[in-house]
Amino acid sequence: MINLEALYEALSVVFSFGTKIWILVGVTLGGGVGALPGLSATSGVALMLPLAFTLPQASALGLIIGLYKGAVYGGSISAITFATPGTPDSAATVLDGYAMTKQGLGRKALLMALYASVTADLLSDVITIVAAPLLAIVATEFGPSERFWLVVTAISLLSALSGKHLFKGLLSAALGFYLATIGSDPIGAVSRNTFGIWWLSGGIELAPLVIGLFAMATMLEELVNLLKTSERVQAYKEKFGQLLTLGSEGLSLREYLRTWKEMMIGLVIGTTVGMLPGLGAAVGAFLSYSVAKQVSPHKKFGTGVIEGVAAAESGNNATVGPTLVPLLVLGIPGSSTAALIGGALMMHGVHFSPQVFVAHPVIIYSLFIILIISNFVNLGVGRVFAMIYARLALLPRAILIPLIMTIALVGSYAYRGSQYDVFIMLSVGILGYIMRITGIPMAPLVVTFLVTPLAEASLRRALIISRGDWVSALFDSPLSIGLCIVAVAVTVISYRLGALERLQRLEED
Amino acid sequence: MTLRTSELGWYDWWRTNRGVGIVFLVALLTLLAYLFTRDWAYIKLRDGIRLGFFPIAAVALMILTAVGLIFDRHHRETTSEMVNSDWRTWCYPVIATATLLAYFWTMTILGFVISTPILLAPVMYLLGARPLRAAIAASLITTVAVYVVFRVIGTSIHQGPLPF
Repeated sequence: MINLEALYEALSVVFSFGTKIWILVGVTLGGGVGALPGLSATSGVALMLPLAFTLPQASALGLIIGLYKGAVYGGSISAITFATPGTPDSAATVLDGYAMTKQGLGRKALLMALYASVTADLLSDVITIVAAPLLAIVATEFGPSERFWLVVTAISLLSALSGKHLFKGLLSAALGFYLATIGSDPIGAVSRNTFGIWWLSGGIELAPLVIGLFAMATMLEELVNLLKTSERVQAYKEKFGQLLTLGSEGLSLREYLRTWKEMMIGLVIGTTVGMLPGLGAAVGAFLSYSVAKQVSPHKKFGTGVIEGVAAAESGNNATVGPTLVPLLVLGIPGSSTAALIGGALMMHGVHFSPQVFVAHPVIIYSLFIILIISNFVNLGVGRVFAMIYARLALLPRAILIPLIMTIALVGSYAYRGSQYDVFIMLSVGILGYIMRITGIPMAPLVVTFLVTPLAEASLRRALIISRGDWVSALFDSPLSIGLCIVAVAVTVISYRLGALERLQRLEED
Repeated sequence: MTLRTSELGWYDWWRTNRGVGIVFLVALLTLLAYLFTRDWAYIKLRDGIRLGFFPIAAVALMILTAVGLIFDRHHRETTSEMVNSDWRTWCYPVIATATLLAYFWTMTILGFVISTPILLAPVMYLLGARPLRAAIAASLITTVAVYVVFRVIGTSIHQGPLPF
């Protein structure tokens, strides 16, 4: 049932001047973040978390959702212009987008990327809005033991699909679990695992953790690369002249409509991939591109055709809305960015669970409306600023890296005015750097960090109900047993079959 | 990107997944031993769970995954970053982090507006921004831009001796 009163309130909040401005700021910043090679949507959202904390709920959502959508599209700009995807999500766009640029059709490719992104994003948001409340009705029937096993299943899936190497994914998840136990236990609030450091008794805050993990660690890696070699700078200098060869040929309505099949393939694949924990926009784009290529071999994908750009861009942007489905339905984020969106709302006192639709209807309706209208903002901003974003990729790393490090440091301090958050951010930055170098994925860490209190509380509630009997606490219903079997099966199957190896080979091909 | 290590020497064992697993295992066993020596870990809570149960369970899981890294079928593989790593790979991040800590300490005394260009200009120059006056100009412009943004959104920032 639609709560009309809440819907009206959400509409008035979202269409207030402040929220609209923050959506615009988010999309504009996101386009820039996406276009800058080295920065991802997750890094951008992480850097904005301290700011989101200071804003009203709807404005914070507008900023973050807008930034996320802008960044996923923005990655295509440098992919098309310089064959250097701003984010990994746009790597598939290079194949046809850059080939079009070399033919003097760069502007056409940029417009195709924008329209395909917005079309698939908008339609997948509609699917999200319809599907999430229906799935949440089922999820409200879950008890503590089912919720515990759901978390375990989601983490298994995320660890299995976050990288080629299952044990690295699991190590990352276990690390997130451990970091979440620092502070105090979630039921008795008794201090634990603080290493005798008093300021750790409050636990590790999400904002410094994700700024360290996604922004600082990335910049440390970029810094080392820059100090060790100047190849990247040289490459950009060589490609600078290509900006002038983008051409002025636009995209006609007929050409846009001609790509409907590729956009639909992108929509279906992107939406499905987005709903599954761990896969992400890059997999959505490559799968969509490969399927579209198989379906229409006569279109000569890879030689610079707009259908290739449409398939890749619709495939990655269609994951944006659906990636929120596990968060909305189960309270379990399916990706790093979804975890950060959930974290931003947790800072505002909104805790995601299947009951969130009843407990916070205004927020949920606001989220849905923002998902839709930020697509139109993305369309307008993308059309106006695409060429400016393309030039952003030429910004010298010597200026960009210290600037982002400064913002990360000041942002993590400004979040609560606590110097200890700065220490945590810098420490996690080093940890994240080591994880990047050794190929350990970060998504399982941040998602597990966020859901561990839920899992621990669920398990302990189940233990209280079963009076300390572990077997009946863990397996009190056929659904609990089923979820346990799924969690074990996901881990064993992904280890034995190496499903991700095949997906990665697909990306490398 | 994952690479096989057939061309690496035996002394490069630490660059492989097995090496990473061994380093993690040693660190995690030390952490586990530390946790077992803490009195708080044995405190029994009202619901019958000991306070140290979840931290120890997390470390035990990490140990299992580290053992997995040592023995699974990918144990000879590595990443291109590990293959190409040298002393700079490990020292530069530490130096950068120490510099940022020093910057933060300076900021608490001199404030954001004075300390930020003092950090940014030499770092930008060191990273390749040329000529020097361009690095100085970029540091001043970025300081003012970041300061204005943080002030407009009303977040706390160290003032130092300056009145703003």
